[in-house]
Amino acid sequence: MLIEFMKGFTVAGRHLVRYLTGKGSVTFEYPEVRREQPPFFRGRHRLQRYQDGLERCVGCALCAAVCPSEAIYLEARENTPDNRVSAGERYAEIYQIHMLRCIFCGFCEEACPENAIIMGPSYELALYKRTDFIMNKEDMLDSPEKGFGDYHEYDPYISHVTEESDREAMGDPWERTGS
Amino acid sequence: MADQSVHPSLKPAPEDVPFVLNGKEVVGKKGETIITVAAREGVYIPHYCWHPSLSVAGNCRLCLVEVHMPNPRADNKPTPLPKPAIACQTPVVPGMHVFTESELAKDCQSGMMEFLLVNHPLDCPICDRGGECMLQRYSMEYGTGHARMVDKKRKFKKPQADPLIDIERNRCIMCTRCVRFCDEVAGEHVMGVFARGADNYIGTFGQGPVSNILSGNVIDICPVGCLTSRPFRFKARVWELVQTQSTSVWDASGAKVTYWTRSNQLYRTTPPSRKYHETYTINEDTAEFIDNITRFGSDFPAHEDRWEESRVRIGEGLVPAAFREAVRQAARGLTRVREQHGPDALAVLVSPRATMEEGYLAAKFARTVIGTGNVDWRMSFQTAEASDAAALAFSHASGDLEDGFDAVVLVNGDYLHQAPVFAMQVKEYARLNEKPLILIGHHHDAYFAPHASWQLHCRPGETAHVLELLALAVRGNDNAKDQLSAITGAQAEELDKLLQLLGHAHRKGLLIQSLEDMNGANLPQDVPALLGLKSALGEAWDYIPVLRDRNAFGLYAAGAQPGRLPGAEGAVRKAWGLGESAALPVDSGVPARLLAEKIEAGEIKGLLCLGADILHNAPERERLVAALDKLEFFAVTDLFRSEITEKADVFFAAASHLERDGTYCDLEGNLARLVEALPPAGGSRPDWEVLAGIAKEMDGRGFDYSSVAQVFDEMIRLVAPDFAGSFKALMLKGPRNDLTIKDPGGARTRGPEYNPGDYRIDGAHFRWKADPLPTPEKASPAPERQELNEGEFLVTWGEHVQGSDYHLDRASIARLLKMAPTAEMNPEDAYRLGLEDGDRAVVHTGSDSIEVVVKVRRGPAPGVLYIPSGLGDARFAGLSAAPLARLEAVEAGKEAAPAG
Amino acid sequence: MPSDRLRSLPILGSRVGEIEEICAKYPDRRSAMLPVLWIAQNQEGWISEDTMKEVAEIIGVTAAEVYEVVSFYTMFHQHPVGRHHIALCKTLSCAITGAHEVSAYIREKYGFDSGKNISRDGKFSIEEVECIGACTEAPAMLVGETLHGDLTPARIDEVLGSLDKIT
Repeated sequence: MLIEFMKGFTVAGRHLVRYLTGKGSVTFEYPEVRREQPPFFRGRHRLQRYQDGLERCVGCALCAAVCPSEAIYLEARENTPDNRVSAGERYAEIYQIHMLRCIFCGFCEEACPENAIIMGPSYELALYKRTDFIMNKEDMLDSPEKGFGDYHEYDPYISHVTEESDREAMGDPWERTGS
Repeated sequence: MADQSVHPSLKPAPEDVPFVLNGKEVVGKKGETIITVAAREGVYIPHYCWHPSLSVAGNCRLCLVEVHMPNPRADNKPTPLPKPAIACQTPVVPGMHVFTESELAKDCQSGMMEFLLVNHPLDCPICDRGGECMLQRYSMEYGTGHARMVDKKRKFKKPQADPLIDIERNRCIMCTRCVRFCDEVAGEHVMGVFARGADNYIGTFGQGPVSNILSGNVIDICPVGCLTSRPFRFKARVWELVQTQSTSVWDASGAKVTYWTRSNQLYRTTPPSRKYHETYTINEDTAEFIDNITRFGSDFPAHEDRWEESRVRIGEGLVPAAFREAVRQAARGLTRVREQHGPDALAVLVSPRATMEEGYLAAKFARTVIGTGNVDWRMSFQTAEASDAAALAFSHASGDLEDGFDAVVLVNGDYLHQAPVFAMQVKEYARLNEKPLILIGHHHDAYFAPHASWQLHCRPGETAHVLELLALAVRGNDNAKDQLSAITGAQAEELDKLLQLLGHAHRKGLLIQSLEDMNGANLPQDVPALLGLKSALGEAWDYIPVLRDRNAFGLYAAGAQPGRLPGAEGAVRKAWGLGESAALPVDSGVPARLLAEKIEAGEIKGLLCLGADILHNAPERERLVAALDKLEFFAVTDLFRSEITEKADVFFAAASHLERDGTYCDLEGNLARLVEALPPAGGSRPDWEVLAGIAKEMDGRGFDYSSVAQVFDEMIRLVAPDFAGSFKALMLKGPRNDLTIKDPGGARTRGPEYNPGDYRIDGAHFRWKADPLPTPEKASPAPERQELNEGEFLVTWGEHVQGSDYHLDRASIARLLKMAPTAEMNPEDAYRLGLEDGDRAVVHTGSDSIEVVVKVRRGPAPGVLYIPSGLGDARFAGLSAAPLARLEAVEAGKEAAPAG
Repeated sequence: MPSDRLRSLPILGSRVGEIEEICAKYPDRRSAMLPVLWIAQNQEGWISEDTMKEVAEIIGVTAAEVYEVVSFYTMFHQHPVGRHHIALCKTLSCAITGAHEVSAYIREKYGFDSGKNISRDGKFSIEEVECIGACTEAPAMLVGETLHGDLTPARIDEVLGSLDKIT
């Protein structure tokens, strides 16, 4: 009987040691410690940028069209030379996602032709007010502090920036340069 | 020719051509192409460059089909042609076999798609055409899904040519639809295909604008995203928008439109959209073109000046009030004036843009509740006599372009800028069917002039004389013919040919007259003269008067003018609940044109105005606005805060054309529905509710309407005797458009039967019955001609649809497109003065002078200058005859001479 | 009367007689566009927008239509060209026999800045054009209106060098 007691205490003791040393525990101290998410995890949306800081989103509204819960609203505007926001001619002036409506299906990510919207690893989406659940573009956009997205460079057929500046640098081939 | 009643210009009916289409026996007409027959038979052949309203170009090559021809050397057995043929240009031949879905045809289609996409940028996410793009559609249906093109794509610099149309040349597939549209339909070769081979691009000369009132249509006919709308640019995606089939509020031609809305906002206006598969698109092959004013000028209700709640005057200020309170105040005010000064001291004005129901209610309200005949909409005419002449013209109006014509006579007028779509339809019908166009008068529309078979020019004021002489000459009076030749400078043999054509027994002829010309200054003579000519020409000739006011005909029909009831008097008395003995003032009304005078004389003390635009656009605006101060009571319904609405004692916030239901009548007498596309903004109400509310408050009986449909039902029973054709179907329809689209066989058909927004389906349109005027026995004496010195002109004018207008000034087109005043002159005068198109000049008329851009056109008669009224400072208020003007050229780079 | 007006045109006014003769040869004035453009180019050396407007007025078409023709044919110059204009064929036969190298050689040797079609001293201008019909002697070029084929560096120097000296 004593042996049975001892066996039982050994198990308890082993767990006590594990607990005290922190090795091999299945739970963790959540706010301080966070679980690593798998790469395909569909959490909070992120809007990516190019390396030079221009937004990838061109405001095509395909995400809004495909969204089954109609959680996305956007309004596009035209880029001007003074205010260049995205790489194309068009950018999203207003980009809102209603997080209470979102069902995290990931269709928006799939529909996006520019790889602008991706669903990030963040799953902490509790807020105090219902209105706060409408995320604006600023809330989702990668900022320089957060680091840029790691997707490929400009697609030459989408960007009208490089091409035009090339042309302007070259100037009119029929203009006399010499005297 | 066997049938002598058929004029030589009428071609005999073409022969039938039986052939086999996809294994099915079909019959085409000789001269038809495969694609037209296939479209009629419900077989869809993909195409970009082919358009039913345009000439065949055959350059997109997408409509390639496999054709087997009967081979005479092999016993007429169908033998494959060595190469596939394009369906848009290959005429049908008896016995041919056409395969549109064979392996070869499919291979050609997918191959052509790949070629067309070689240089096409993959920027669909950016492109505004996305969602209604033919290239996207055909890529899905006929394309291969991948491209083998790996090299860099061709790129063009983007021109900023037109304020309304955005050109993105990289996306162009060189179908040249826009080029052909400008050339053929809009009438000027302003767009072109430049450079060569792979460097082809479309554009305008010197990056100029596509300066035409129909230019917006190139946006719709462009099958790809090359030409897109600038005001709509990037505003929304097409699939997000809700479509409402309605009618234009600007164009008296009665153009049908689709309003595209989202979240209480109008995003764009297009010709009617059509269903293709599950989606609605606009750049389908349709001949329904609309003018730029309708397209870019329908968004004025969104202007910031909008007052969205009713207001009543308390002391000095207008304070917002509940609708009921405003109604009570208005009823009280009107009752007070009636009690103190009698019913004829009150007047009701109706905007020419009011619907028929509103006009009908206004007429009923004025005549039964107030007890006066002072109800009118005709403010734009120069004189009260001109308004009466217009009423005479309306009562003889007949004719419908749908029936076609063999010859058309146009008298004086800038038709393209007064009823653009109507003008386009007339010109297109005449051009495509090679029908003669005859222009008569001092100002011919430059749009028609290049296609005119005869142009009879005269001086301003002589038109009636010329028409009378022509009527006499048609009757065989040789003396009149000689006089006509002398006055118009036309060759005698040319006149003989013309008279032969006019006198010939026609299937149908059309006389068109503009009531806008010189604001109707010469109408009292011109209208009877033309109606006399009509009698001389005989039964086969129809008459269409043209007026810029959108619902002029509807308001005439609804009886919203002095001297006119909506129907026969007995029927009206019965419908309005009036006994035989009760007063029903009909003829006693004050014409709107005399309103300022009557207010100044103290005869009119109270005014109820439905739509302040009638006051704003009046020729004597300043005088009217000043006169408003003398009124004891003034109630107005309108959209905007303005100097007129600020003077009101009661202001009703009106629902705009986007926010209410109603019926419009176009100048051919066809009805079209205005359909509520948006909910009324704020506390605004449609005008019929205002009228019904005030009437009930003033104890008027018979105003218990709960919807505009009830008003329509009551009205249409009265006006029905003026309808030709059945109106039963019309009764059954509700006020909302019945959007049934016949779509047999899985949406691949293009049916001409789809006609949203009107009642034409059963041929219900107005035909007023009036006894023909007799042809005069002899012409009135010729007016004396004034000698003109070098540089002197007689000025004529006419309202320009793009001119300054109370509502249009608040639309996006007014913001984007600044129209400079222009002066059109005959090439002869221009050559003599050394002026060319686009030069600047100063026109001095008496004490006034304005700077204008010279347009050299074959329109105005020699010695006549045509200045569209309303562009810039060009105003001709209060003139009854063409003023003498001196024209001075302004040299390039110099400032205009100071006014003096 | 119209011809008075045409006679007062600043660029082509003096040639109206000649032009009217040409126009009279055709049933349609529009057909005379190419010869009239040749007259204009021979007089001015190139065809400016103003010239196109005048041609449009003389022929009775819109300026856009004239521009369509001018921009289609490389023989019509839309820019002022050098004293000697070289039209170098870039079409298939010439391209595979070395038109690109010829172009590079001329551009380098005769004072063209990179990306420019006109030399620094304005003596030469060069334009790559579509086939000039001299495939048998490819690569070929037109200098002015004279054809020079079988181009090699030596041959180019022989042709252009002599012209270089003339000025």
